[in-house]
Amino acid sequence: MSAVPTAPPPRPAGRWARLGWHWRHDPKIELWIMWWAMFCFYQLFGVVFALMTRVMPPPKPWWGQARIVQWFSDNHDGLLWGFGICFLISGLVASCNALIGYSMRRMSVSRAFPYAYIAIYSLSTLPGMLLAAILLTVGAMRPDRDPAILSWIYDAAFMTFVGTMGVFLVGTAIWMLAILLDRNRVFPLWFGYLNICNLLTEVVVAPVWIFQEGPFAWNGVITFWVDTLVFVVYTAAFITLLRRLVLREDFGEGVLPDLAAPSAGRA
Amino acid sequence: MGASSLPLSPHRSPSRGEGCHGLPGQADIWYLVGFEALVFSSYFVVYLLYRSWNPDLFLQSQQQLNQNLGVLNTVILLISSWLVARGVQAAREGRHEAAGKQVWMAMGLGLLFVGSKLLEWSLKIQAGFEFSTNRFFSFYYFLTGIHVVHVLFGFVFLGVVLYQLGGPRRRSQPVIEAGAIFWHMVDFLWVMIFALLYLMR
Amino acid sequence: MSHETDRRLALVFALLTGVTLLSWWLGAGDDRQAFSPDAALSLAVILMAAIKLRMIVWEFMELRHAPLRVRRGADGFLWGIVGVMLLVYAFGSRMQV
Repeated sequence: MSAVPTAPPPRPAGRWARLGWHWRHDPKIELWIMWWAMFCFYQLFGVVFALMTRVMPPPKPWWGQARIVQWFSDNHDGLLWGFGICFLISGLVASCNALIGYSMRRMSVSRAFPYAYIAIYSLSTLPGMLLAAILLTVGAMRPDRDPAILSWIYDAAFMTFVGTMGVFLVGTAIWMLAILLDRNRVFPLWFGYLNICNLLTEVVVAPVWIFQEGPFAWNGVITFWVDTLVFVVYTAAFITLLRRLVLREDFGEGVLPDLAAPSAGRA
Repeated sequence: MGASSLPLSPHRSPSRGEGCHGLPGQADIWYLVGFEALVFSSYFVVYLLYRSWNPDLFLQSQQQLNQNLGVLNTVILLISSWLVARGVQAAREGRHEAAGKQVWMAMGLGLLFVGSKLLEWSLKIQAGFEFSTNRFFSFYYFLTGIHVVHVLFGFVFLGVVLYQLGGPRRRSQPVIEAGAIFWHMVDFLWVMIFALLYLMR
Repeated sequence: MSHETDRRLALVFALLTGVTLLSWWLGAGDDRQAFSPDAALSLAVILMAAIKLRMIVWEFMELRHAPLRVRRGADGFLWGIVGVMLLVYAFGSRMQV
């Protein structure tokens, strides 16, 4: 950590004083802000989509119009509050994309990789999250509309939410390539390979457009449950690895140093 | 930037696994194998569950598959795996040209596999069995389809292996072994898919 | 040395192909007759696939050179999942959701 140009004052003892020290003198403060923004975003995303709006796990794709209208009225408050939060925090996605783009800039690969990744993933927020949120909010706000229209909204919301994965597929492929080509060891190789699994889940969801029930519908065992598990493992892995990246960052060139042996006592 | 754009550069991982101690290839590729095995196991269990809920439909549909074509597919992949294993051995002994030849042949057989799958699908579709015909055929197209996607990934891995075998400065035995391990994984996944879709009753 | 490995790989390949043909003969021997449920045959076919899979992983992927702990883990995973698959085959019809 000798890359810091001017030596900062020594770290004070108290908890709050230390926080203040980090705020003023820690050269990584901006990276940490981005990391915490990303961390909070994924926590809130889970709370909003699983607990408040009841979108994950998704309701049944085979429901008739009456049942769909009832679903909208049952979840009216959860949908409005949940997606209200979602619209407020959706900007935090940018911090996630930025940090991942930053990780690729630290690699020994062309700048084209982070630019392409950021462009694609900022686009992917729309089909992956916002479109579903907008559609379901419209449904919750206009309960007196024709049930046929409401069930169209319901179908459209869940099909875009689960089924539109092409942008994620290409984005993941770009990140994977960058990690596998990189010589600065920003990410371990196994995470590069794990991208293959995440990428394949985006292929697996395609049958959602065809089936209304069974393992390949939008709430199916294979297309929803297995896919979501893989996605959760993948997301947890990259959040942890990005934290480690911030810890390891030396603001230099070349190979990124390993963590300063916290396991020295163990070894 | 020129030197840094080599794919899977040799300096990446210290060569961990040539002796009897560490894992063969890179340890990293084994994480992928383990995770893929987990994901595919879940598909297999779901398939067997749906199968046991409707055994008659599955049996009748299984009878529409061409077992002979399935065996041919298996043998094609087994030969290609064997060639790749021989190629790794040759590379280890420094006979890189021979290794390259083996890997080329393995890729050819992989292409043959993909071709025969396309043929099989088109025959099935002509006979009126499509993705949404019934639950068995959904699983049939899903499992064979996702497996073929893995074969396509395997071509990329073998391509990197061939690239590395091509010149002395690009070579890295762990990366070559990692590519081979991915190809063998594609092979063993097919072995299980073949048993579950074509053979079991 | 090289000759030895070559012979070993060839032997493994021959065994794999042999088991494949055996399971083919078991599973497709009654060509075009009506398929009927057959637990013994399914058990045999799945076990043969598992053995083939293990041979590929141990010989071609060279897991047999891995540390004992890893080999045990892989074996445990393989036979565990085969066990689950056979249980689902046998009792799946009672697990209606």
